[in-house]
Amino acid sequence: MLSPDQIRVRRRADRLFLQPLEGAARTRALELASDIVGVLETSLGASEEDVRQELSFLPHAASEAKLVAGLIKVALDASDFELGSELDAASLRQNVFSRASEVRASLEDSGILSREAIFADVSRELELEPSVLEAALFSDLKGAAELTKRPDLSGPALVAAYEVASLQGILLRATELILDIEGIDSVRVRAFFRQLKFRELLFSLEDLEQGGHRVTVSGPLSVFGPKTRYGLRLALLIPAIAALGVVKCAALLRWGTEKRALRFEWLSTTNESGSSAGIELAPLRAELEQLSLSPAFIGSGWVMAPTERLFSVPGLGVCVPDVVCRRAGSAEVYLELLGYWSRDAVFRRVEWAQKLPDSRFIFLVPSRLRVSEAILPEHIEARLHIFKATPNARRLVQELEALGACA
Amino acid sequence: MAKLRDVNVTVQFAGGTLRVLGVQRGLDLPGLWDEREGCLRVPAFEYAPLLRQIRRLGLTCVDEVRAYEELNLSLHEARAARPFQTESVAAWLESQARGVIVLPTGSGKSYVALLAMLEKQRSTLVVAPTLDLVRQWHQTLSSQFRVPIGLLGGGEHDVKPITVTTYDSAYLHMERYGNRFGLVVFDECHHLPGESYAEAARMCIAPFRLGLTATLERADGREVELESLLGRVVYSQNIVDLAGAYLAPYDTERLVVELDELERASYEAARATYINFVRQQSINLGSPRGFTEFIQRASRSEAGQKALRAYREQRALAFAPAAKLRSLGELLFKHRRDRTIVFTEDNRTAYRISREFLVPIITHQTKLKERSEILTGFEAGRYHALVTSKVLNEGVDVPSANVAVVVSGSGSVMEHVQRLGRILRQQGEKRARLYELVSAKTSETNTSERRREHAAYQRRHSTEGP
Repeated sequence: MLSPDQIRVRRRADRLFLQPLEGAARTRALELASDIVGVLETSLGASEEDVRQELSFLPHAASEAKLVAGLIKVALDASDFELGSELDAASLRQNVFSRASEVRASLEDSGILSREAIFADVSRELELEPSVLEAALFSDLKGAAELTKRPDLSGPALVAAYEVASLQGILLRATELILDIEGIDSVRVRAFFRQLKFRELLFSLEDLEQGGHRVTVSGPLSVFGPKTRYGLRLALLIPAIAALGVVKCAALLRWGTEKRALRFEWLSTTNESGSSAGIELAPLRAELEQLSLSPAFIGSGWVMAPTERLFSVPGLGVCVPDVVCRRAGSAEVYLELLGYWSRDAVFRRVEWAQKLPDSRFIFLVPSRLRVSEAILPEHIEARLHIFKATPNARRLVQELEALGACA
Repeated sequence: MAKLRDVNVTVQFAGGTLRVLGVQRGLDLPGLWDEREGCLRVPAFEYAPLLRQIRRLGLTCVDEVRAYEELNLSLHEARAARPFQTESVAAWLESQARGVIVLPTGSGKSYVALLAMLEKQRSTLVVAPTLDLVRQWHQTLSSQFRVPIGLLGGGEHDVKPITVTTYDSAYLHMERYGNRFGLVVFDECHHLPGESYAEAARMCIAPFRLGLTATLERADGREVELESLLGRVVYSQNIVDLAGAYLAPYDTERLVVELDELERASYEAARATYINFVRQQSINLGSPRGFTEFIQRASRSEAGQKALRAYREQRALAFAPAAKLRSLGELLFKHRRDRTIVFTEDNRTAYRISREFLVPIITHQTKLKERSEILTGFEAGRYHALVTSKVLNEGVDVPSANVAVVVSGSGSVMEHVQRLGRILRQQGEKRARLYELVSAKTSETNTSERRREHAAYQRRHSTEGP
């Protein structure tokens, strides 16, 4: 990931802006990227130190220093360097330095240590040319490794990689992420919250007036003040956020050596245009579609529709229903179809339902999870619908009638 | 309404914090209410005060936090402790087994930690700044307690009731293991008050805490934070107090060298470019942020970048002019049968010295196996000298070292005292000698003056060379 001195940013008041590579700036970035790739192409076999030096000679204006440094970093990260000598440099050093120490200690007051004599002595023992021995003495140092493979990137690909790395580099200094999500189906939302859990991040969820939800992500310690220790985990969320579709994002940062508090905003999209067109809600899961098309359900007057509603219960996580069932004159009832793998998930739903008294839920639970409908207290406005192969439409309608009538 | 004593409180360790479940907002307990999980959240290092307060309020508490053990440790090679070691541990115990002990390098701080561990007999985490020190602690604890010792860091991930780790690994992993230790020892604890490392101390529940250091002062003055992280300074002795009795007697000598004609001309030209830019930009280099400001402004213009290159050039010339290397050659010859450590400010000069004088080198790039070979060889007399930049500044035990040559260094008093400390461990009739090579009429003269502002350098044995 890039450091702040490799990222093209602008600061205005308490905001940080990533300078877009557009128009002439993009043309220039492509030129520089192509120069860098060119230098690497012609440097195969050169030491890392020499490659870096060669790259440092690339002509550029002072105002382009960050861009050049960042492009070089991304390009070198994508290159392969390998040790130039097959000789064991550490073992060579041991031989040379112990011999030198021995000879120096034995010198009389007027003696002089001869480097050439030491190399000649040791190389004879090791059956090497003295020049080979001297050249291999520090061949295991990082800067001595040789370039064996240039990055498999064209100029435009290098610039694109730089742009992604810049965003990651900024988020590395993030203390908190704020995401406004709207119109996203339950499968993708669940996948996103699973990522938060996997990365041991915490979140708060609030409804937005204009619709949708605001998810604020940080870590356990963040309650005591902004912490950049979660920056890497927040940066690693970028693919999960991109998978959500179009999301308005903001990151609170501690930027630069002064750890200045800044806000950075961007629009995450899965396509380059930034438009949500083409991103459609995933189709209903097969079991739910089957239910919605059954005569018993159609005849009941209830309508099943995908929902983007989220219910957060602090300490328990977020409940992401699959669909909402509506009928004129009845309360809305949310349905969630559970998988086959976790009984705990069912008990957690029971707790959710108890802590969300104003909402009505039916949890569709496969019988192989071996839970009883009775674990849900009667006074709670929720039902566990246990089913063997597929949920029973007639029974579901009865449950909907009972819950819907509570309005 | 339920009476307080009917309230069942559960305390859990969660990501370096304590999650308190079963309480309502507004109860008189430490910590903050966390809306995200609907619970009270308390910093892990307030574990003991939290439990005390829960008890004081008469609440029933289920403690799911504590995962450390009571041990049954004994020393395999017990030796009579030195008086100041016994006194320091007594002072620490009197302070509820919390606090910082300041003792000079080579006086036996590790043994103080062993005594503290014997007193408390709890799972212990030892945190040290470098992998060399981690290796050294691992050896000491293994040989003294004869129990398996865990290692965390440097590619190892093996947590045991007694574990050694680096500050970096402690920062990374404390959120997972912060409830596994009842005693935590921070070696070279002046590192702890950094923004990140301090979090390691806060994410750990250990009620017993010991900080060890030879030099408490930090350039940024943040050593005051140690009191909240570990406790107050409970005991302190300096080099001058212990030299002769418990540390080797020593002399220091400053050798001033001249730049040759060509070097002088290059130095003056580069310095003029650098200083002119600083003046043009009205940067006050004497202010705490002066140098950062210089770096920031230098990146914005061609002239700035030229000034930055000039700054580096004049610095490099002052660090390693030909005359310094000639003096070093003479010193290596003079002390060819002693054990000499050569210190530099930068790796580049260290590698140059290693290549030119054929002495082994230890830098951050030196692998653990080679470091061990060099240090063992140095102790055994296979090597009479070694060169390093900063990695041997602290803690690493090289008892036979009796000569130090500081070719270049920063203006830090702490660094200079630590470097002196490397040669002071008592061994037979040893008398230690530290040489400091300084380039005349360069910025290094002031740097040298700054780093010598310590009692250890204000003694009668301190002399000026030509």
